[in-house]
Amino acid sequence: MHTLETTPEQSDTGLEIVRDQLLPWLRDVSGYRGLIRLLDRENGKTLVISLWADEEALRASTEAGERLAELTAQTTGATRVAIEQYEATLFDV
Amino acid sequence: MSTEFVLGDDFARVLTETTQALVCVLDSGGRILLFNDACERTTGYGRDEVIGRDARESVIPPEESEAFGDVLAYIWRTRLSSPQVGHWVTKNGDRRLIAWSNRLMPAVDGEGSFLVTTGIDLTESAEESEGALSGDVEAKLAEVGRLAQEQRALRRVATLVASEATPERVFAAVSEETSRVLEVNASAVFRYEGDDTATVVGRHDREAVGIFSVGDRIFADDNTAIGRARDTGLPARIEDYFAIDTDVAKTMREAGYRSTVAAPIFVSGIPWGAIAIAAREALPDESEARLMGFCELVSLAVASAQAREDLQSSRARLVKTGDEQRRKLERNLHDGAQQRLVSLALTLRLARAKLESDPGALEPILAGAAQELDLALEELRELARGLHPAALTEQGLAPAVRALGERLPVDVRVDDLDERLPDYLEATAYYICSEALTNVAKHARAESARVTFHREPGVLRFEISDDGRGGADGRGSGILGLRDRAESAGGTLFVISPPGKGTVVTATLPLD
Repeated sequence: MHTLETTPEQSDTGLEIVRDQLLPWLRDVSGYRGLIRLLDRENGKTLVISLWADEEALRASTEAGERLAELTAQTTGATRVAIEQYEATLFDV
Repeated sequence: MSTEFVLGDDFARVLTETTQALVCVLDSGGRILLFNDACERTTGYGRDEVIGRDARESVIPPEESEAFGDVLAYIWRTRLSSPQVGHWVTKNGDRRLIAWSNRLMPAVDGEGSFLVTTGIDLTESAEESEGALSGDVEAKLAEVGRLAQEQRALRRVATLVASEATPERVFAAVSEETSRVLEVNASAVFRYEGDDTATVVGRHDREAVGIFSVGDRIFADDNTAIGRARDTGLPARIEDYFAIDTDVAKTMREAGYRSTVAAPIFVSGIPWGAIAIAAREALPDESEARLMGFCELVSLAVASAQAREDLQSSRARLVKTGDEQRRKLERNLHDGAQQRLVSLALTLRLARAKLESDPGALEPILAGAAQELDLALEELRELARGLHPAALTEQGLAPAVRALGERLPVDVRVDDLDERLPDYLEATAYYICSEALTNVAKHARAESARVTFHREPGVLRFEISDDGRGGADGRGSGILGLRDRAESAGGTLFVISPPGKGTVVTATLPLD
């Protein structure tokens, strides 16, 4: 889970990049299970949560994920606040 | 004025009625359709008693009725004549020994055919001679009849083997035919299990004694005929189970068997199993020799089934290897060049954003983009070379292998090969060299490797040798993959890899 501080404009650019450039590639990574992007407009905060089959798949994707996330943040001008890893204990979609 | 003599229906009728020879016509089911005067005189049966009925109900003695059926089936299947010597039983129970000629005759309407048989009664001449001599003649004729029956049984099994029947069917047929031909109560095919046991893989017994079933594993030490046949590689016999005190002997005794003969079945030069027969009485001396013919057929059936199995698993491995390689290629593209291009796209976007806001920051961003692009290109080149190296098409086998060698962390020397060979052959040879050299780099801990090519009449032979630690597993997946490639091109591949002495892979590929 990536946490970012974003202006509404930065968030829109980020959305575009994630949707058009990262997702098509991400979908072919082994163990990738999905991505959720959440925006808190009032407080200028964006959460990007990517879902992985298991810990190993997450680990294998970390390096590339980190590089692309950094590039994306640089391009949009957003500030990266945190990267955290969680175990999904309940999933009902 | 002369009258022309015609070989017509009348002549046939007169000849049939007047000849001293027995003339009998049968249909494919063994029913008697014609029974001439000589037949009536010899057997004491009247025509009305036998016409339209199966010969096995009247003139064919019960002990020969099975052989009679075999002869009919053989003649109708092959359309060939099959001279026979056999007995007929007269109405009062005497046996007459008759030598038969026969030929199939198509029916007038063209539907089906009849077997015309003519016979000479040998009984009188045999009896007129001295007693010893008559016994001799009859014994010889009986021997001829028996041999013919054995040949037919062998042919039936051989047909089954040739039709690629499953080994299980062949084992069952061999058991049945051997017990019939050797006139014993029970027969079984055993497979040795590499220890001192053997598994029953086919069995037949005439009296349903049923002491062994298919799948049973029995103890086969040197107190058993099959154990001795395995240990000596020669046929073996147990003359008398009543003289031995083992569990197997006890089982056999209780089933009423006195003696056993077993003959070994060799596959690829090693004892694979045995055919064994068992009887209530002592088995005749020639039993061993007669079993051997069947052993050879079983050997053939097992070897050809193994060859088919090897071929199937080789095909399956080739398909699996192909799938794995495509999967690997997809991964390499995705994690390598694709990922670099995604980040390149992002970098260019970043550069565009900085164009107005911070032109000074452009320089390092664009330098990074150029580097990323170079890396992506190099990765794509590497992948493309792995698919089919351009050097192979442009310059041929030896230069392509040399170029490959230069990219490996081992010193590779490659001989010249002056001529160009057909594309597929160069490709197959290249991949074998490539995989073999990759194995050298990965596993051999070698300092140097050498590739030599020898163009021989009709074949290309080449060797990949190294000075590494040797001890490569000839059945490991790496070498199996190499062998599959060579064999799929009709060639062969051998690996010699003594521990500590390096490895030599020798492949031979046919040129057409």
